[in-house]
Amino acid sequence: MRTLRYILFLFSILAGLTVGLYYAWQINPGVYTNTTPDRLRADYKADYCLMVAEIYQKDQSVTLATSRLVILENTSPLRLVQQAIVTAQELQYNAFDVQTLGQLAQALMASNPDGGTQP
Amino acid sequence: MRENRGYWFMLTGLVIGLGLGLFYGWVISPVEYTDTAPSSLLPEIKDQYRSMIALAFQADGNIGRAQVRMALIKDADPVRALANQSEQVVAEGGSVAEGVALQKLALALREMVPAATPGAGATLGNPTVPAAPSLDTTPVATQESTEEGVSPGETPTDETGPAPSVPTFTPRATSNALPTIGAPFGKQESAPVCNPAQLPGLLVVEVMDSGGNPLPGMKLSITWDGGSSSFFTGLFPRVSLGYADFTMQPGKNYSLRVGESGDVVNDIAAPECKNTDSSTYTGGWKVTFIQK
Repeated sequence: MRTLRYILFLFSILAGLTVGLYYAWQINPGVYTNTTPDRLRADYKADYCLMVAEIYQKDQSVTLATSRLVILENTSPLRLVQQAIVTAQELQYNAFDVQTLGQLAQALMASNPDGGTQP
Repeated sequence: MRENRGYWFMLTGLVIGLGLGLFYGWVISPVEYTDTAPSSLLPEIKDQYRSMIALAFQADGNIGRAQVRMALIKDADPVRALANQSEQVVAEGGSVAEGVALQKLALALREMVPAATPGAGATLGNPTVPAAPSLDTTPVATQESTEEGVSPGETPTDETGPAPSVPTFTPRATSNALPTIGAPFGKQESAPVCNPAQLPGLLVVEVMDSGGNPLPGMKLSITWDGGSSSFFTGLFPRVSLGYADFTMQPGKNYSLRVGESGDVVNDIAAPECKNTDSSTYTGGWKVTFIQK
């Protein structure tokens, strides 16, 4: 009898744990504010890169473009732009925008040829 | 004697388990969101995002796109957010160009026809409208655990299905209310100001369009014997979008002009003003320009 009570007690703890985790992870996982840019969805990242590329078209500053891109994610700026081009093609951005991104990628590649090969 | 304690111990166990589960799920291993929207970004990153939108707008002049991008941040009042940020950038010694870009976007958005709400007026796959991100801002919460089948570093996928077509906003005809750079500005008023409450030597400038509306982002060139400088309107939107000021040195004469052409106002100087008790103080000057 005593053993049965222990088993039931353990079972009830596990049941509570399951319910608690389900609530905390699925039903009410908290408010998603103050997130970092690396958590942005791919299309938002691509649009951010496009903004950088548009500004680059005007100021022609690779340094500024790089400093703007590193805010997005702690990885190679060239990789970010390359990823943005892939996303842009998947989402059927117009050709001019893809070209704008391509020009930024070329400029980044020219300034740092190894930039796109970093992991 | 046998004690009958019933099954209340199970409720105790349930509560303990529930507490442990919530603690683990909220504190030890909370959900980490991926695929979030710009509206959920850190405030300082949102500022950066706004600046990028403004600078991109300055580069491409596409107000429709800038409007869609601003909508992603979900500011309660985008125009005010831009104006306040512009003021903050300048007050903190940041880039004047960035401050001006923010102001120009604020003005352009303010003067647009009230925008379509996200979704309304949006068209799918319009190839002529570039790259506005979709407005579906529901993030995907993922519990990053290998037990869930998502290995660390693997890009979680949007569980709502394949990447959606990009609802793009069909921009209305670009409403560029900003004055033509070369449009001349004429002097409407130029007079000394004796106000002891005002900073000594303060040159106050107001620039307006032909309709009398204040114009931000206008470059003012000022020269004096042995020097020159430039400053911009619109950096103090709480005063007026067309307001700018400059501190003059006593004893120097200044010449002022808006933009690259237009009237040059000469002989601006900090006047010597008298108080009621005959003591003197350095006054200021006010110049008002209006677009011809």
